[in-house]
Amino acid sequence: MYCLRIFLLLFVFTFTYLSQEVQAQNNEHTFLLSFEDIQTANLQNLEEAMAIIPFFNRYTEQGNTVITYGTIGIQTIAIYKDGFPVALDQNINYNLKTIPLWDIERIEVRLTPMNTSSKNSSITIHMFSHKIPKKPIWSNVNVTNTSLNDLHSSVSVGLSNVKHSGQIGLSRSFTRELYDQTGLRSTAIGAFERYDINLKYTYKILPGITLHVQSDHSSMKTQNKGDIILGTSRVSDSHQDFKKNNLWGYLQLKASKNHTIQLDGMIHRFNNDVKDIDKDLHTGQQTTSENFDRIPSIGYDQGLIKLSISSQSKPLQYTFGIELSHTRDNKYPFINAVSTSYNDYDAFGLISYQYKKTVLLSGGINLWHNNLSGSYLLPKFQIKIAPKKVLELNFTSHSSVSYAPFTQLFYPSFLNNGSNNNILLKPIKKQVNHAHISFHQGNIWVNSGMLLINQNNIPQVGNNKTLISKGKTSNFTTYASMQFTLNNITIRPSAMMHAVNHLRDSGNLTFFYPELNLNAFIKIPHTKMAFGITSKFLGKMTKSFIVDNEIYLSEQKRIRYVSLRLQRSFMDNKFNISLGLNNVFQSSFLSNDIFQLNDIDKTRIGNQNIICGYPKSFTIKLSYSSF
Amino acid sequence: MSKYIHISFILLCLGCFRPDEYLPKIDSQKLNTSIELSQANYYIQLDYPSTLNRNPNLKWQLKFENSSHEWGIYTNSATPIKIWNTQLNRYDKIDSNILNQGIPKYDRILPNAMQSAIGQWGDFSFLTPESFKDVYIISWNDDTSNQYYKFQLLDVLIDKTYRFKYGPLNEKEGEISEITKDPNFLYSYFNLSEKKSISFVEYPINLWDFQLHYQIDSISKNSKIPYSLTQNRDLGLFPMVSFNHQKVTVYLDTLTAFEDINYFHAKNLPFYEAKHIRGVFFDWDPILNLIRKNPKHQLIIKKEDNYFAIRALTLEGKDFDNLSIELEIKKL
Repeated sequence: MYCLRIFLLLFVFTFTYLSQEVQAQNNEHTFLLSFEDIQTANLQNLEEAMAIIPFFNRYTEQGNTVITYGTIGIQTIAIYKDGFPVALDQNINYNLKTIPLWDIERIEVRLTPMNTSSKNSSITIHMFSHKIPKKPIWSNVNVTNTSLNDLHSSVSVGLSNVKHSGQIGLSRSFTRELYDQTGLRSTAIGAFERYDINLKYTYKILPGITLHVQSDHSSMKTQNKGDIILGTSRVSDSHQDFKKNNLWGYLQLKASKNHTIQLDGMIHRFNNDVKDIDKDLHTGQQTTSENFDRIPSIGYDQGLIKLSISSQSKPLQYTFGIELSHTRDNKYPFINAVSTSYNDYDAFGLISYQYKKTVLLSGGINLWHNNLSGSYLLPKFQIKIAPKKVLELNFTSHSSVSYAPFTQLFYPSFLNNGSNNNILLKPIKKQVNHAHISFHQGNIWVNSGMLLINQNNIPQVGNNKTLISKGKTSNFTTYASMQFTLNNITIRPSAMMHAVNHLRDSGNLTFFYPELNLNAFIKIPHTKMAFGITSKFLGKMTKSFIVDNEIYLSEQKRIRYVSLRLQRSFMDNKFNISLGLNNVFQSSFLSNDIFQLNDIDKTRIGNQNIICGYPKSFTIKLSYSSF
Repeated sequence: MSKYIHISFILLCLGCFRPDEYLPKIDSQKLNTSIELSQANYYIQLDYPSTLNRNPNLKWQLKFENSSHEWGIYTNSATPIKIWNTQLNRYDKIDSNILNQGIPKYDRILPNAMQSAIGQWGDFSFLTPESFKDVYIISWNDDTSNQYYKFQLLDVLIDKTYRFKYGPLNEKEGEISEITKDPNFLYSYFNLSEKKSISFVEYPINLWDFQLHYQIDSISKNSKIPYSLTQNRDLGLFPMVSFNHQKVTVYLDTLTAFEDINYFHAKNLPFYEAKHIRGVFFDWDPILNLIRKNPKHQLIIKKEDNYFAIRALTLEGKDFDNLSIELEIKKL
């Protein structure tokens, strides 16, 4: 025991000696997609961005978009915009195409952040919008056109003085359809048109009191075209009409030099109406109907209120508070006489203690209660050795929960692939252990680590075709990422190896796949020109799944995303023209092999077509900023 | 300035939903088929309208329903077969003396065509036929003599097998046979005198949607439907449309003109499951006393999500001995 203590002490002192204090950096993220990367890859919505963001894999299968990190679906990964969740519990099949990126400055992926949230909080995605410029009046205009005939435009106008600052942004985005490989008329991804109005307002009521309000409103129409029905002039198209109103904000009171009291609130309502439209292309006659065999119409109301008090004093920092949230299905408020809603009550505490400049200990706990599934105690723990030094060692153990999909809790079997819903499904429990080293010297920041995620209580089909909480998965990743920044150059390569086990409870098969990312933006001196590249390479990826007690393997072929951009500035950088080339190498369609696993071998039983992106396209973007 | 407005207009026009295409009118399909009284069965497939014909093997007396959700035993409606429920369940006690108690009746097909022949006189309208133990007398003429057989349904096994006892009227111990439902065919067929199942009577269900054929039935009960005379003056041969009821549902529209029937009309019609309809497409000309097409009969068939409207376009021939019909099949 003594030996261990002496060893730890020596280790800490050695570390302290070797480390040099550097300028404090707020590097909470592990991976970053900067504004320049978003522009280079011509990312117009979050779903498109998920194909580029390191760690994630995005594809479309039979009209449904699947976004995963290894064994973990996007439904269990919280997405925040300016610190507020965009879809609260994420278990409602939220369409990420409806989250625009035209006002986003950067997207961060955070692994095991020490946050106060109990739900979906082990891995989080944070979007940060542009800060309101401190100018009395300003405007910004962007127009992007692609060779696929997509058109994206946005206008932002803002006013600002000492007390008030506000902005309004309007956007229209149209993305052309992607046609099926085999069909003449049917679309694999439907064309969609989205209108957004985003508002932001900050009122500094008193020197220590700030009111901040933000709202995002979107309306999106999607048209999925069907094939011409053989022998007729008739088609069956599917139209979706999405509307979202999201209002959030906070009232912040600086109670003392180090203490802050903050009241957060959010109201979010969205509806996605899906209609099948039968059309006769000869007579023009058409009728609409709702088809439950495909995607049903959905609509949810979500509310959140949170009160917290935090202290930034040293060496002890803390945050305590309570959070209440509510989710309600506004399309089908009752199904089989059961109210389709639930409430959460969460009390949280997070304490950090820094011993000199050597060790930072953080611990947190959430006492979380859900009116359907009961109470849970969720601890978090982090130790940082030599925080904010050249070399920083960090270990985090993190517990969080995620809800089972809303349909699996409440909806009838035909919306759950024939399985019966179960209102008593337990939340999916996630235990994450994360160890990493970061090195920061001058212009170089290197981050390397290991991440082990175990998930329990994943809904699976049990006896009588009823969903029960019994599935287990594991996910292990080693990663290394780097950022090199000079005046005119930013380069961010990252490499990782993922080990995934989708069936830890039954097959217990682990598969590996590599991932490489390279994002760079280089300003060419004395030319007012800049060059950008975003690229991502995913190796062959195998996924195991179980159907009727038989184990199957799906082998996804490698994916390569490369986008290039050349930008020229005019009028003191107020006006920019960018020429881009997107998805240089990757074809849109992939044919993945499906195997059935036998006792000794695997047998190929077919293939599965997926869509991993739009075809190669050229982009021209014009942007003007008055500041 | 006008240049910029022009460019802006072009840009805005680029990013819009494409309007729907225009397609020319699709002609309906015409299908010519003769429906001669040689009693061939004409099987019609709707997706790519075509006819298969097969001279039916008529050497069977009973056919057994193969649909998984249905139990039913029918007699051969192309030959006169009599059937009678003894209302007794002691198979060994029944012999030819029973014929003195009553005259076997002809099988009767109800208008809704959903009733089992044997159940007509008994208690065959049931979900599980285990309670059904009455012995039936089945009689037919095999060109040389009248045959009288006893038949008793014993049981069903594992929800997919008929088990029954049968034999000549004066034999105390009957044969016990089993017929397992074959999902590839609408019915299974059985010959009582040859004690065996009969194969190749009909085409597999995936090859046809409906068939044209003839059926024997009472003239007095179907007087408005054209028929051909038989040796028995009470019985006529009636033109019949039988449906592959495992795949299709039907609606007989007598109000809407064929030209006005389209998908939007058909979508809201109450389709029902039918096994056969007599006399569709045909009518008597009361003045000339000849068979003619019935212009009011528009048959609409729903197959999965597809709808087909069918009518008789032309009818050639004066009687059933030499008749050919041209069907117009419009996919809606």
